[in-house]
Amino acid sequence: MTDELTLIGKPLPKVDALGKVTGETKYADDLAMPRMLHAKILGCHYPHARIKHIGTARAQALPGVVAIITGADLPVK
Amino acid sequence: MKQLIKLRVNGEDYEAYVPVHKTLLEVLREDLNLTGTKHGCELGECGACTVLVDGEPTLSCLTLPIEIQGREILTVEGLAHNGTPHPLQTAFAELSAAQCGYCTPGMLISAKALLDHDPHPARDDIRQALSGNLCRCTGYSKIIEAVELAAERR
Repeated sequence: MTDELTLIGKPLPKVDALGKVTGETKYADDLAMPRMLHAKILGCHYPHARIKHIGTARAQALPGVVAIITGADLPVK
Repeated sequence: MKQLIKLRVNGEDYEAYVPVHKTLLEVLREDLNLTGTKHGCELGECGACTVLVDGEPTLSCLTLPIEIQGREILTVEGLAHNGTPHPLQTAFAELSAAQCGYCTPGMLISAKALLDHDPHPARDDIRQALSGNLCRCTGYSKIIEAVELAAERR
């Protein structure tokens, strides 16, 4: 019976094991793509606060900043 | 302020023109494209970024490249020899000591430093040598067994 089985009962290497021990496996932080941008999330420092204003001018003025997205940019409130 | 930095990594010479405050981890990953060394806590607590500098385990997230120019740096990419995986790499793969695999490069590097100093370490010595490398999947048992297996085979 066992002779007919090709996989069951046999020690098999994991398909992704070699990449993980050689450093070749790519994790999200390892990817570099053409025109890739980096994003940073800024959360509110105050729980349950009422948002009156989000000042983005100084951040927008920093070199290399492509876009700043806040709730005002989203179509659904 | 940028500066030209010369690094010797895995037996090859590299040059990078980088800001002087950029860490060895960032230069390895972003400028030399050696992404096998992992970016974990960036606080020197998790060990994911461990590399060898002249054979000593070193946290690349806390090291400035300018300090170690001309010294021998070894990363996970340099562990294999002429295309043959290091016995630690084979043992980790066989015993499933790499689960998600994120801590594995740092574990392998710390374990290599141990075996280079002490080819047949006791289990407690392995625990001690890997105590600076955090793993959140395996529960460490398979990692320690893999180091023992690699030591037996060397």
